[in-house]
Amino acid sequence: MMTTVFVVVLLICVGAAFAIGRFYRPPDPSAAVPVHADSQEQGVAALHAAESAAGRHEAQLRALLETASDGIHVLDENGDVVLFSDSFARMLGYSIAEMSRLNLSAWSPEENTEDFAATIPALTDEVSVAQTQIRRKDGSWLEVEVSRRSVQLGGDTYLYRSARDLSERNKIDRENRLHLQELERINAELDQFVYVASHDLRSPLRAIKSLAQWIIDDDPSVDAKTRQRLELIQGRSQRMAQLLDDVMIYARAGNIAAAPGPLMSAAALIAEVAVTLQVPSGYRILADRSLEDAQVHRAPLEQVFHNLIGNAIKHHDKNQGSVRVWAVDTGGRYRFFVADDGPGIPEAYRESVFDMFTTLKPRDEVEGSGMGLALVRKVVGRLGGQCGIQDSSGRGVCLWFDWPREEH
Amino acid sequence: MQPGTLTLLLVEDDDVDAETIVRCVASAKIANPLLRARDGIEALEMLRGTNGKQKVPAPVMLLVDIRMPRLDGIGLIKAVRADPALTRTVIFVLTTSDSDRDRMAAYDAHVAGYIVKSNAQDEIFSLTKMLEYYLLIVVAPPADVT
Repeated sequence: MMTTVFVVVLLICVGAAFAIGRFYRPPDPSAAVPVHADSQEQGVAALHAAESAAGRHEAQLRALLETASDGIHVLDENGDVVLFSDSFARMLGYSIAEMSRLNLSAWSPEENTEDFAATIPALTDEVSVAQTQIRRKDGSWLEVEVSRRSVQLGGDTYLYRSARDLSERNKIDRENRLHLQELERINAELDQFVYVASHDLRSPLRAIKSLAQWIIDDDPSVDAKTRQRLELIQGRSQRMAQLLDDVMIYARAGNIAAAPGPLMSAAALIAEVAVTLQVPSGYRILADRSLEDAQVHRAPLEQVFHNLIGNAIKHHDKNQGSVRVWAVDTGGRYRFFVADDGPGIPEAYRESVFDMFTTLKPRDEVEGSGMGLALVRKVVGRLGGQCGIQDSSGRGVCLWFDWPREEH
Repeated sequence: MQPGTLTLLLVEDDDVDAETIVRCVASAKIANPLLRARDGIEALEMLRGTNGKQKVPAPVMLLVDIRMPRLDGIGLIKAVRADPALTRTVIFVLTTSDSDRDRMAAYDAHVAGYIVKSNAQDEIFSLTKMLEYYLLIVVAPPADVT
């Protein structure tokens, strides 16, 4: 925000300075009297009274030099100050009177006066920008960005320059870099933690499941009740293994570095998802024609459709039904819709279903980790999109999500 | 020279995982001797016949877990490859880790295969099939190279 303001101010100031430079003739250079708004009050008043064009420009210039936040300064071929904004004097720590008598060498000692004159013609056509340091009156150095351009006026050459204080910006940049490094470190640690935790938890689970199976396999005297309990042990182990898998997938999801996969039509992707889901007979996936024109990368959209269509079928309360998928091109993005004719989601839960570990039915009734929609929200959010549930009453639920458009 | 009978040496610290493999091998009616070491150090001792261990007769097929105490699977594989007397050993990696990093390290050390352990019945079945097939078809290095 601040940066934008600075840029806008700089553009206005530099632009206005050049515009005025073209129309407004500075005082006769032979007089070589530095001009500053305050020191020219009487003259300005006289010009105002005349209401000449030059007078209006003079008033504009004066206001500009008083209000500009960048350090505007105009130099002659010797590097002597001809015009300057109040802010430039403040930047260097000089009074207005001191500033008007200064030469470039006072704040920029390495710019030798002879070399300086030689560099001016090369700057005529374009504004050039360079980062440098300027020396303040108290001897301290200030990091600045200087935009400059030379202007020919009545056979003489003037250098128009504008200095921007970078110390604050550089300090913020340094702080941001530190924060970024810290964030990257925490992220790497978290990745490692999720990875190790899920692998170390998986191994004992597998052992529990195997041991229960071996009792069933090896002991013919196991009665029906014991057998059922052993199977429950296995079922619970399987549920936890699934939970671990889903947490891993969730942790890895939306990893920007991951390969996005080939570009394909959304219709072809839906067909692939239908195959991997092994849709039970009785259910139909209806891919709308609008999906044929939508070009998308396979990963991670495949996972999103897999979860949404899989959910629609898993939570369906009848043994037949249909899932309709279509896309709307909203300009910069696609909005995909997945609608089913299942039992629907009560209005009270339409927000919370996107949270992690949220299920609406006991897990013994419908097996699920409650990570499916959380993953959808995470992936879509990483790509700058949103997802939600369309308002509806009665049966069925219609979920939608935004997806970036691929340019090709 | 006839190839010798291949001995399977399972290197696995987890008792249940070890029993899984033992049961696999038994159910497939694989008749090759099956021995077990609990980590990389013990496996090297058994392969070399050091520290009071009886030397496992060559040729040997190693079934190696990655994560183990003292000397892990990758360390064991590197030690075997670096030892001229053991370098011809056939090695399969058995692990719960499906990380690319572990996989690359294993293949860099020239393992014959990399099997991700899982609960799934069909994967245990395919592991057994693979072992059967390997023992049946592939001629092991001769017992003595001299």
